[in-house]
Amino acid sequence: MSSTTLATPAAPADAPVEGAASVELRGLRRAFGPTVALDGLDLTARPGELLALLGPSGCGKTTALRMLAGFEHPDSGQILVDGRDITPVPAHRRDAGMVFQSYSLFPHLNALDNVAFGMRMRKVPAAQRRSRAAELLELVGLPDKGARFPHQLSGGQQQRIALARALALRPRVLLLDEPLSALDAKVRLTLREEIRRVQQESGITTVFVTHDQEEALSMADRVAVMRAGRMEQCATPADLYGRPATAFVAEFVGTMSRIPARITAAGTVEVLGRRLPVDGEAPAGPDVDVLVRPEAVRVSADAGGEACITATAFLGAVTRLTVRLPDGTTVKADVPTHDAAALAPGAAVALTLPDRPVLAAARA
Amino acid sequence: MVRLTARTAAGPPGRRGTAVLALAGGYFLLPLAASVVFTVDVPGEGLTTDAYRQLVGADGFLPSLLLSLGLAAATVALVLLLTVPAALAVRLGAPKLRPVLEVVCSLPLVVPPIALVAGVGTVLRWGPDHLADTPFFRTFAALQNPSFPVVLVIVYTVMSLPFVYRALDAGLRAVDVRTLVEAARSCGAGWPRAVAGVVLPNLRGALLNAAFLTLALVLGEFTVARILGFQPFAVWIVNVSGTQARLSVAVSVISLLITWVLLLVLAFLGGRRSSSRTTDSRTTDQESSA
Ligand SMILES: Nc1ncnc2c1ncn2[C@@H]1O[C@H](COP(=O)(O)OP(=O)(O)O)[C@@H](O)[C@H]1O
Ligand SMILES: [Mg+2]
Repeated sequence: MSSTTLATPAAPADAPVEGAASVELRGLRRAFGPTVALDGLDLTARPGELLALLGPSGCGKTTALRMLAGFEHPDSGQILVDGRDITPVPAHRRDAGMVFQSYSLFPHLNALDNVAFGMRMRKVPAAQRRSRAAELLELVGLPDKGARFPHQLSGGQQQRIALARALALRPRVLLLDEPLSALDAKVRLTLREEIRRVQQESGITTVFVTHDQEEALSMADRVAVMRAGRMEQCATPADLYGRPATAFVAEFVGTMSRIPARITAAGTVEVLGRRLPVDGEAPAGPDVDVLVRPEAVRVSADAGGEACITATAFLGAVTRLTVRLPDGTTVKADVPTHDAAALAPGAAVALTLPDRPVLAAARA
Repeated sequence: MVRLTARTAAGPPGRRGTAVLALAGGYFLLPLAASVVFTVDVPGEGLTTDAYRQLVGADGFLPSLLLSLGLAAATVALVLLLTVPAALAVRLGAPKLRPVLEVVCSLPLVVPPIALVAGVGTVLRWGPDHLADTPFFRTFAALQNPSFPVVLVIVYTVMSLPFVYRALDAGLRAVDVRTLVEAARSCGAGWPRAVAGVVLPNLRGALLNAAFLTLALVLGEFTVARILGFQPFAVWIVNVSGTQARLSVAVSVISLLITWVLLLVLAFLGGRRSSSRTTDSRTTDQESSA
C-alpha cells in the first residue's frame, strides 16, 4: 500500500490515439434475482486511454466488463463504441479482446496456436497467422515459448500469452478482468509494467478491472471508482488521490484516517485545536470527521502531548505510525524514517495538520 | 522438469509396490493362462488350436460379432449425441438443472435390465395394435429388424447413460468450460465453433472414456438381447459353447481378446496427443519456466 509512489502515466492522456475507439456505457442496469449488480452505471473511456475500473469486490466491475465483451446483457442501458450502439451485437462480433481473471488459455493448443486461434476463426491464411502470432509473442516477451502448452507455462507467462491472444485480431477495445490477481506479488509488478507498455505501444483503448487501488493508480490514465453498481468518481490518479469527490473514494483510494471535528462556521472546521477551511462542500454539522492522508499529518515528540503512538511500521523511506488520540480514534501518520527514532510505541506525541483546506465527511 | 517427472513416474516401484503388482497380476493372469492352456492342450493329443478353429468356423461367428460392433458404434453415437449437448447446456446455461440431469442419468442404475426389458417387451407387443391404422404401423417392425435391431440401440443407450454421464461429468469438472467458451467467443468464434473447436477437444479424454465404457457394456450385454430374441456376440457365444467345455472356454478367451484389442485401439487414439505433447516440450525445453 505505498500510496506515496504515485507514478504519472508516461503518455499524455488527452492526446487521442489515431484510430482508437471511444467506449461509453450509459445507464447500465442489471439484476441477478434480488442482487443488483449494476445500478445505472455511466462510464466513458476516451480513445487510446487505459481506464481502470476500481472498486471493492462485488461492486459489479466484472459484470460491467462482461457486458462490454458481450457475455452479459443489460436489463436496460446502452453500450456505445465510437458512438455506435453495440448492445445487440453478439460477443464474437464485438471486436473486443479479453484477458480473464482465471487462466483461460485453450489447454489443447500450444502458445502459438492459442495466439493464432482468433485468426483461424477469421480465416486468415496460415502463413500470415504464424508470422503475426510470432510477432505478438515477441511483443509480450515470450518469443521462444510458442511450442509450449499452457500446462508447461507459469501463471505469469500464461497471462502474457492470453494478452497476446486478446490482441491478435487488433480489437478496438481491450478488456482485462483482474488479470494479475492470481499471480504472486513480484510477477504482478513486472506484468503490470508490461501490460502498460504493450497498451501504450498498441495505443488501444483499454478497460482494466481491479480491486487493487495501487494497481489502478500506478497503471491507469484515469481511474473509475465504482460502488454498489454505480460510478462514484472517474478522474486521473492524481485527482482521485488529491481531490476525492466522496468520502467513499477518499477511503478506498490510498490510506485515509478520520479525525473527529466540529463545524464552527460555514465552511470551517475545528480539528486538533485549529480552525481549517473545508475543501469542497461541507457536510451537515456540527459533528463531522476530517479525512487526512498519512503524509499530511505531522507528528512531533511532545511529553505533554495527549496522543500516544501505538504501533510503528517500517516502509522504507518512511515509517508509518499509528497514533491514538485521547478520544480513542486512531490516526495513521507517515514520518521520514530518519526522524522516527524518537517516535517509538508508547511515546506521547502531538499531531498537527498543515494549513490547507481539509476534506470533511459526515461522522461515520 | 518434464523429463524428471516422467522418469519418477516410470521408475521402478518400491518393493511393496512390486508385491502388490505381482499379487494383482497373478489374480488376473493365472486363471487366464489356465484357460488358454486348457483350450490348446488336449490330453493325449498334445497342443492343438482345434477349439479356436472350430469356433471361428462356427456358423454365425462373424455376423454376430459385426452385429455387436455395429450396435456398439450406434449406441456410442446416440448416447454421446444425447448427453454431450445436455451436459454442456447444463454447465453453461442452467447450473440449477444439474442435479436433475444427474438423477435422470443415474436412474438406469437402479432399474435392473430384466425389469427394463420386461417393459420394453410389453411396449413392443402393445405397439402394433395401436399403430395398426396409422402411417407408423411399420415402426415397430423396423425397430426389431433382426439384422440391425434398433430397439437394442435404444435400450443400450439408456443402460449406458449412468456411465457416460459420469465420465463426461468428470471431464467437464477438469476444465473451466464457461471461461473457455467465452475466451473462444472473444476470439471471434461463434457458439458452434467455440464448442467444436475448444470444448470438445478438451473433453477428448472424457469422450473416449465414455465410448470405452459403452463399448464394454454393449459387447458384454446378454440379458436384454437374449430375451428380445436377437443374436449379438454375447448371445451367440452362449448358444455355441453350450455343451462343449473346451469350446466355451475358448470363446471367453476370444471375447476377452477382442475387447482388449478394441480398448487398446481407443486408448491409442486418446494417447497419441499426450505423447506428441511431451515431444514438443523436449525440443523446446531449453530453460526451466520462470
Ligand atoms: N451470473 C450471476 N448470477 C448471480 N449473481 C451474479 C452473477 N454475476 C454476478 N453476480 C452478482 O453480482 C454482483 C456483482 O458481481 P461482479 O460483477 O462479479 O463483482 P466484482 O467483479 O466487482 O467483484 C455480486 O453480488 C455477484 O454475486
Ligand atoms: Mg470480478
